[in-house]
Amino acid sequence: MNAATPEAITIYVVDDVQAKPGLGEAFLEAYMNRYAPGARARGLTLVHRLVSPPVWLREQSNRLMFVWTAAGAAGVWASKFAGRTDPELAAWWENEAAPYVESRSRSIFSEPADIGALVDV
Amino acid sequence: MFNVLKLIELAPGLAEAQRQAFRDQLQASTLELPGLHRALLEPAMAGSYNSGDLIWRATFLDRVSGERALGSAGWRRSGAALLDERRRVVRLEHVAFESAARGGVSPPGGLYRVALFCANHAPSAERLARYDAETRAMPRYIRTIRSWQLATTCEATGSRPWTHVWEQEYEDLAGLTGAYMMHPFHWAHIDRWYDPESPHWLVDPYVCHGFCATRAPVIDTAVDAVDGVAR
Repeated sequence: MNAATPEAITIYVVDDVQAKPGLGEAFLEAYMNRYAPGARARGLTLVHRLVSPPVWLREQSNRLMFVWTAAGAAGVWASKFAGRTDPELAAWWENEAAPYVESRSRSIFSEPADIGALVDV
Repeated sequence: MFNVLKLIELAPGLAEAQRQAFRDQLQASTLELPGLHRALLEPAMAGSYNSGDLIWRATFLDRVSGERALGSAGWRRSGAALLDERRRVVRLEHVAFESAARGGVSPPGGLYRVALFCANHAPSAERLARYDAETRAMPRYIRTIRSWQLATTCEATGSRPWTHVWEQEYEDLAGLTGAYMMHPFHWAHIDRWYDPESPHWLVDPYVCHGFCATRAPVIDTAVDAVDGVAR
């Protein structure tokens, strides 16, 4: 759906994580317990947790995707600014998550139909 | 061109008249700098952060001219002495940089914005090159940027060892707070270099973001006049 105002456009913040072999389930638990509460406090809403393949692998790597939403550009900025100077947040990714993570990306998405409204600023 | 930029924080206890007196003295000293090509001294506007109270910028034709001017006895006795007064100046961010990648045309007046960055998180030549290229691409997407310059520093002191100076000029404040801040190229793409949550994180989260009203071109992209000193 094409939203009426930029503030109403749903933005998706996606963590895409390749866990180290055998550590997929442990990373999920750590992410949900140690990371997710803070992300919610910064205004994000977790709408999907996805695991591929849908079996916890012992010798190989699971891929996990966490799909968060924010309300428009303002919602994204609010969440970023709330965490930017928090040393614990950087420490989560640098220290706590790193032992579980083989590789990861963080990307920000919108519905293609919303691009016109988002760039018209 | 050789540019020197200072973000000056005055002592909070100074009265408005004392602030104005400091500014007047600094302006007079600045205009006496030999070989000065262009100068800016304006109050940082509300919404600036880590940028103090005054934005000071001086441009010289080349580095030799700039260093000669700032090392002159006159400047050391007046402007430099003012900036060294710990009773009035409580924080000073300082960078010097030679003009580098830049584009657009400075408006005759409007809004000047400068950001000081310290790219100190796992920098590498490849990452810095990508960061530079993407930053230089911003004006192609964000239509309100009238002129811009991205430079690396040759001198830096203050709160961080600043590595990059990112300057823009706009016709008005809305160009900065609206299009620049709210364009998805900014918050959904290039901001990953600044985001400690991103695996691309490069830039120290402590940045200086200052902006001020202007009455003359600042970045000087298409103007080659020697009479551009804003008095």
